[in-house]
Amino acid sequence: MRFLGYRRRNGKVGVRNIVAVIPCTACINELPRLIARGIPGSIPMGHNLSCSHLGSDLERSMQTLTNLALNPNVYGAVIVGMGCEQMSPEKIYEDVLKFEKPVELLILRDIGDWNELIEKGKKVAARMSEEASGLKREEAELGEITLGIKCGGSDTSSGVVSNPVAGVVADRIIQEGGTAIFTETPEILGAEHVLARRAVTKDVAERVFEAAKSTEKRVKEMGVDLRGSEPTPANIQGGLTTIEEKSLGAIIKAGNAPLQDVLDYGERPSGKGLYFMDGPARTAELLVGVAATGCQLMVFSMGGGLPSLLPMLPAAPARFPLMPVVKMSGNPDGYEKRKDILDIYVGSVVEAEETIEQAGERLLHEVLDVASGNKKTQFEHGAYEEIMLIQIDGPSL
Amino acid sequence: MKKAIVMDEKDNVATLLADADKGDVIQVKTGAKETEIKVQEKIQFGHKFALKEIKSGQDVVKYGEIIGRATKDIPNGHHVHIHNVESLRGRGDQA
Repeated sequence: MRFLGYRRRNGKVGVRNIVAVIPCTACINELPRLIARGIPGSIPMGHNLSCSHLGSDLERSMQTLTNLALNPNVYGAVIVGMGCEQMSPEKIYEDVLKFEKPVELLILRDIGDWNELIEKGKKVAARMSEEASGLKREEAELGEITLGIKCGGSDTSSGVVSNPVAGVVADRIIQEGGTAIFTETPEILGAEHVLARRAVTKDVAERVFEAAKSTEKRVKEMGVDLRGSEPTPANIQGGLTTIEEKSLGAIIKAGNAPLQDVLDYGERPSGKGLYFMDGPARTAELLVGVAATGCQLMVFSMGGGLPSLLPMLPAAPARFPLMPVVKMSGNPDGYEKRKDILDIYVGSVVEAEETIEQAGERLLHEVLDVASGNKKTQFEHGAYEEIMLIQIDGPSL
Repeated sequence: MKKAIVMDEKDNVATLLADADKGDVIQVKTGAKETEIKVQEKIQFGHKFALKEIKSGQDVVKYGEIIGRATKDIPNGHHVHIHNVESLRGRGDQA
């Protein structure tokens, strides 16, 4: 199976053709907004990180911003620095450059004037946008896709219908030599032993247990019952009783392939196959981390209930544009109200009109249609106006 | 007939694929095997009921794995949810 994508100089294939304007500290989130305004395909990537964070939070943020610029959907990146931030704009620039990606660096300290920086930024972004629009889509193999998979607004239909359907697509992509990445460490609690059995080495199995253990330890340190946050009140309304039940249903979305490794938040995988990213379930942070791993697309398996009535992703920056998100639900309850905000409906499985495999095949075609640019997902309609949230573990100072 | 699905033959709960009223006889599917069971209270789509009596303190099993522990005796055909099942994970309240 094939799709049409933008082949980059480094061999990767993008399904979108974005100019990312990335600030190196939240102090100057306004600059990318002003630079990107009115330039086709350019996106301001404001975020939550400033000098108020320490150690591993800073390192993770640098890696995340670098890897977002390296996402195959990004044609080129404009890195905007202040010149006094803890993150190094020069290092981000150099790391992106190593991967033969068009990149420019603008630092307020060196330019010395706010308006002049905006003018220079607009010039380079406009040039990149023009270069990007001159590119033609070329044929690419299914195995060149790295797919992110997430479930959200889960109810019991997720584990029975939409997660198994997502799993079929993950398996197909991996069989063709591609990659699938899933995450949400809180949502492997109670299912980590099932996942660890599929690890390719003992060491990888150990990392699965370690990720779950460290998340559970932090929950316990809060001195409260996890229930109410995991599962959420909406999950509970939908019939999910415990985190164990939610987790056992959630891991089904990753299909049946052997687990190659556990990635850190926003880390790029070193090989192909199935990977688990140790990260939060909170959609806003999750999307950013998964896009940074290099996923060109994501499948979002949605339950029913209130979260599924939202036209955007729950708890997420509206229409995260770097990575198209295909929203699917398998809950026939109240479907009529939701059909305009879903990309694909697989409740037909509940109604016994279709098997999981047939629905999986349909989802795969939807993913390829979106990848080839024949279709925009629901979330791609409209402008990106919110900042990204990068995972932070330590204190905000 | 209204349907429910059992994810693994080791399970002691079934998930409803339709809203059920008290006294409804439900067709329960476990793989290729089909049985019938009467639900003893009103239970909504996607929620679970006991396939046989689950005693207080006993494991609740779905997907062939433990999803929690019964906090009360749950008779056959009754709703299984947060009012009679507790999670064993992330219990900072018991730490």
